[in-house]
Amino acid sequence: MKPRGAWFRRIVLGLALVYFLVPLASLADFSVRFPLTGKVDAVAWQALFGGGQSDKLSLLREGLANSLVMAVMAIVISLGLLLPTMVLVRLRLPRMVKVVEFVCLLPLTIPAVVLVVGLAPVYLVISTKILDSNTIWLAFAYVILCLPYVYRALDSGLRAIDLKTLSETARSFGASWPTVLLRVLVPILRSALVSSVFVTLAVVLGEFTFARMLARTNLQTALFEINLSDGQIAAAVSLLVLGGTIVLMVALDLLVALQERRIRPSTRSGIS
Amino acid sequence: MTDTMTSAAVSLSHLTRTFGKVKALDDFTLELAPGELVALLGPSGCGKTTALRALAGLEGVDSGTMTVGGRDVTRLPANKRDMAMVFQSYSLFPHLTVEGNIEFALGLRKVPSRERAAVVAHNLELVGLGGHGDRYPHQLSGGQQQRVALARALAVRPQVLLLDEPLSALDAKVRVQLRDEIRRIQTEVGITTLFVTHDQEEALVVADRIGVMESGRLVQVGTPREIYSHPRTPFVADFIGTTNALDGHAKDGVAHVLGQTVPLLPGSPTGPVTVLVRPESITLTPAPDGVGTVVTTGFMGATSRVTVALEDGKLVLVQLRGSSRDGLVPGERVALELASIPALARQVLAG
Repeated sequence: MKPRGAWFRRIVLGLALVYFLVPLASLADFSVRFPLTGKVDAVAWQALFGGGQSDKLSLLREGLANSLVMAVMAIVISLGLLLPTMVLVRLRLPRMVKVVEFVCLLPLTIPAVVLVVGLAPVYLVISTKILDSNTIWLAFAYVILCLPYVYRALDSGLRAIDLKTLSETARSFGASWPTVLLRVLVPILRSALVSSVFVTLAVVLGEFTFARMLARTNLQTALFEINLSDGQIAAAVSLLVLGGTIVLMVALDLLVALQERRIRPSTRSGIS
Repeated sequence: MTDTMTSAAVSLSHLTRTFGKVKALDDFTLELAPGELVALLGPSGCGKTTALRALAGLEGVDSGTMTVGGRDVTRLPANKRDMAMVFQSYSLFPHLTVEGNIEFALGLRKVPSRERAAVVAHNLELVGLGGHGDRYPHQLSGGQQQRVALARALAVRPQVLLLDEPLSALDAKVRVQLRDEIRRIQTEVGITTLFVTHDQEEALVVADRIGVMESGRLVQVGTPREIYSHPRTPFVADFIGTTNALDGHAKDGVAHVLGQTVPLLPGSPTGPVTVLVRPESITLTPAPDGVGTVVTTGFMGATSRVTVALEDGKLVLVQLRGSSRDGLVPGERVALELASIPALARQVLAG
């Protein structure tokens, strides 16, 4: 007889799956069913994969490309900014840990619409005086949006290791600070870094408010535009992007799990 | 491959380091001869680890100078000092195998990659872990991890080896084994070593010289025998080994204690004093008219310990060889005989 706990877990898992899969199934259904007649066809998918060059598709390609470039930029900037800062603060200025945490978590408490109102004049200067009006510079704003999540992921990783001793060991053997960061801490914090990458990717690919209000084109604004004229293509692309993101995340997760298993096999063979 | 390293003389001169109002190092001066193992010993918070970390470059000093092999390293960052450190918590890189850990350190010291495998194998053999190179740190016991940390530190052939309480996290048996091995290997490779510990037995066994620290100051430096037999201050006498504080009266270099005469170490005060007598400097004989009564007896293998209560209620600890406590039972009256070994006395404070 199965324990009651096992059934309870299965029921919860089943409900969670239904909660996530029903909207996805509906989205898939909507992408192939003509709303007025109920007729099933694959016009939207054919348009996507048929090699057509319609305005809608080029808008989509532009939005997707911008979002992917911004995701990469946001990942590089946020990790490049936060990892050395968090390590330095923990090693040299432990009293500042709470201050850094407060600053990093602040974007969680400010609604995106409020943030964008503040950022609008900044982007006006960026567009006209420093850089240009290219959408990809929105990545700087996305770094702010991702800060709380990246901070949390790195924080849990750093808490799990003896940061001080590991970095001092490497230093005493002759490692410079960049070497300590890149060759000692980055490999040890691999899981935390991958979590940061996941969450940044998800936030940037799903971001709409900033891009819409600052009149830039990213994936979500492109989907919104297309949805106004052709809901089926928008649904098909949403499904594709969602599927692509899930496949990417699972692949990264498996890769990390594989590495971790190599380092920490489940069967311990320690000698006492 | 030769084991002999180019060992360097180390000089720490008038170091001071303050944390807020606490003086972690107070005019700290210590010289280490090439190839010498000096143990810094003292209670928690006495500044011994600060001294070690200052030499490693992991802690700055407010004033003073440090030289290694004649080179001033006071302002050099840790990664330019050509030292290697072994920490209490093993500090192996968890994502690298045993070999990987040692190779990583060799890479940082620019050892050519074609030479690394041989150096790794040699040093693992040196610490008795040949054949464990492909294991990850979590697959090793604490003692093995610390051996790997030692092998890694020796592999880079540093001018100075720094050991920061390397045995504190290990269980008693492994601690003794590794302690003896550290001494064997250090003697074999002849590397200048600074060893920090709070365990007096550890320091007495491994060190060429011991520096006893109190409140940031080095209160006495000497061979283990000197420190034990000729403590310069009551703090050293109390901290190294066990002592009995017996009331007496000092005059002309001797003290009268329990009706007997004990020679005093130079520098002892005169007048009413407390004489610090080692438990092994006292012998017992059953005597109905003796000055004390046996309270407890304890068998410790090679020695036995007997606690005796004096008539004024003070307890005296006596250490006897082998089975010489046989026959003594709690409640028995005994006479105490003090050996004629010079002891340290301290002034009895008024009030």
